[in-house]
Amino acid sequence: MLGWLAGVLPLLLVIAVWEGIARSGLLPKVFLAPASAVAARLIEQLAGGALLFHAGNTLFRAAVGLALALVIGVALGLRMAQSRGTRNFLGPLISLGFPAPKIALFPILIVLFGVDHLPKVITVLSGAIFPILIMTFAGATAVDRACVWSALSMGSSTRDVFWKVTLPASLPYVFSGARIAVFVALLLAVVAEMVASGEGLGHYLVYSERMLETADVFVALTTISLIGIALDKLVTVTRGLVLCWAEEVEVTL
Amino acid sequence: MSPLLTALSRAYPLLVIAALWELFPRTGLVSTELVPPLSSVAERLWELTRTGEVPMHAAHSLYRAVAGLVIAVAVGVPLGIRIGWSPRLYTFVNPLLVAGYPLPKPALIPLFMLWLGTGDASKIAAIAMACVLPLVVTTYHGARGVDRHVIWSARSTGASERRVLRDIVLSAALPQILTGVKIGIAVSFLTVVSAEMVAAKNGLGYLVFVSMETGDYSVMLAGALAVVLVAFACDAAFTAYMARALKWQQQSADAERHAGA
Repeated sequence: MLGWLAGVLPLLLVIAVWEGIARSGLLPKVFLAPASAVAARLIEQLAGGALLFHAGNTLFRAAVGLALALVIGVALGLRMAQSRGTRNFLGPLISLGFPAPKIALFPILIVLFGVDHLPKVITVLSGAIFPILIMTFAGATAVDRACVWSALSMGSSTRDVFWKVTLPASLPYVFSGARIAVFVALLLAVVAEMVASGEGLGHYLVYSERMLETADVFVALTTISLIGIALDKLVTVTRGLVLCWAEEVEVTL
Repeated sequence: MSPLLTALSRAYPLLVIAALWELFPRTGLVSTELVPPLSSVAERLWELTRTGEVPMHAAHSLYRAVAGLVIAVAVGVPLGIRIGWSPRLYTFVNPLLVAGYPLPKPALIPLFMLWLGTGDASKIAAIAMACVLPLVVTTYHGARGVDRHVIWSARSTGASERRVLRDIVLSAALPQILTGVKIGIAVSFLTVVSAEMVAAKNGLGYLVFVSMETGDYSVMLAGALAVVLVAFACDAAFTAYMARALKWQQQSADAERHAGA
């Protein structure tokens, strides 16, 4: 109980200071909307449906891109662990692509596919696939050889070894990669919407700034943060359910 | 295998992609206006580099990224060490870090533009915010991982608290700190390109975005190519530096192993 309070206290302090400074008149009104005004606007936008509309768009793009990244990333990561050819081919591409900001691809995708969901989904996919692929590969190669050998010596086929030993052993790594991928997916979806979109939280954010609607800017930021926290929690809770037997894996990208 | 063959075997996937990029537009399936072949993009990139346009944009982007990263290091590393040192400070700061982490920092750009205008300051602030969190976290882990015996022996020989922190904790945490900087490089790049696409008058992100709007697609692709190359070069350069800077760590770990065994 006390621990929970200690966790929330610094945040309450920050909010209190925020409210105080905003109401004091020290700063021009456009700088800071009081926390209370932001909360009121949040409820207003939520009730009006605008917030759910924008958030829904952002979540849709992030989720679809993430789902594709999971399917393709896990498949490729496992394949890379099995096949030297795949490893030699994808390895240099991953090293080259990993440090590059995937958002630089976005304008190219707009030219090819217009300004709707597809370019944003592809951008999310291009960013989210890296942590998943890399961590899946790390997990598949880290499988304890002794487990594989025991399974084989007891008469398992290579298919059984894959599904019953390699895949479950890689899952903790996949989840660690997924946690990062979720962060990247939300980031790319929001930034893509900030750059060029008619809807979505990124668009709402930039539009509010251009209209100097500071309260709306804070509403957008709060909503994005809450979604980020919720998605991260989703991954950890799912992990807890699926992998109650496994220890947490440290991420090494 | 000879070094040349090893280099080729590492580069061949890139050559395959390059060949695809060159040939696919020429097949006529996509118009060469929309997707210029690699040779014309490379030519355009070379031309823009010669005239100084790409270097100018790259310089603006790098300036913002480096400035933001430097601020993040100057703030984040001392903070990370202090949090690692003082459990009370940790209990206070940790919730703020946890709350701040899920927000994609490029989202702060509009807010910072309200506060700091549309110039470099808002972008540098966003970059600094983006890089400071991973740096604090990695530095914290580095500081926590320091061998207590080394600290105690330093204290017992009369070292002041400040010297202990500076000479011992900082050095021992260096691998983690440098890892944080490496993450920071990638994050700062991502943030600066995002910021420049949203609102800027120069920079590589601006170049890519504005050439999309004007329909100059070979410049757009040349700019994107430049972004990938610069990002890769910075990451590779820092990784090489890290390997050299941390050589003594590896050497001492080896020495320990030999001595202990």
